[in-house]
Amino acid sequence: MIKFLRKRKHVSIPDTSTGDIAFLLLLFFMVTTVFVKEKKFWVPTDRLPIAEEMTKIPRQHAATIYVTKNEEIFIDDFMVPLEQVGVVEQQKLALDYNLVTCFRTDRDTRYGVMSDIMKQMQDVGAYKVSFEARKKRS
Amino acid sequence: MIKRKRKASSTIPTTSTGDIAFLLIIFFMATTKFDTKIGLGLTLPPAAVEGAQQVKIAEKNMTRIFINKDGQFLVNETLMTQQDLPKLEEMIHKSVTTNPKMVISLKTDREASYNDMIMVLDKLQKAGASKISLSTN
Repeated sequence: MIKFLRKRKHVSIPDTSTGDIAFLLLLFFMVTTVFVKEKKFWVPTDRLPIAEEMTKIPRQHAATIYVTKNEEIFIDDFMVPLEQVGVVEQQKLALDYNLVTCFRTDRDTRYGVMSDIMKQMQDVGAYKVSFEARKKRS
Repeated sequence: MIKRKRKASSTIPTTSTGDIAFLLIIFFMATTKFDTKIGLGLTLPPAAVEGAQQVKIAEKNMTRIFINKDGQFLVNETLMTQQDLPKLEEMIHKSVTTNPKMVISLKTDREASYNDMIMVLDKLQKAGASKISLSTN
């Protein structure tokens, strides 16, 4: 019996460039990642009101004020008394003149507290505000 | 005759760079949180200063909306509920397009829900109102 032995061709996927691809992806993530200042989201997204007409807020100029249902105010992970909000806002405004204050407020909060905060902001000259909301799903 | 010594090849092994890079990618992918901020933008007017000249707005250029604590809206003496919001949008759109000087005064009760105020503000912005004044009683 004659046995034909064929030499098998060595088949392999070239993997020399995987390192480069991986590093490219890594660079992308490193460039695009923005570390959030707050450790905790005091008002979860599902507690936000729903709206349709919304605009994007430039992240580099955004400062978030969390207002919970119990009318507790948090700025940069610190609980701030209502009468001190103006002072904190003034400090932030001194660092960034284009500051946009984003309210992340629980939908069941009383409007009165929001009005008091906005009054303080007007007093210190922080006029640009944005009310964070969830996008209405059609 | 002097024989030259063979130099030992000195290279950094790069076989594991891909693995290291992928490990780092996994770390970034696991820790990255897409946190795009979106919201209803508004520019507040400067605080009223005592003795400053006040600008009077003609009544025909003003639409008053009042939100009470029960979630009802009073729009120029027409009582509306949350079900009438599309009607409110239509009404504001009409008045803003016919009169570009129209100022919308949104007065919200202190005891009213923040959600109600946002719902109305959203409809106002959707209707194309740009001059919105927020106040409370």
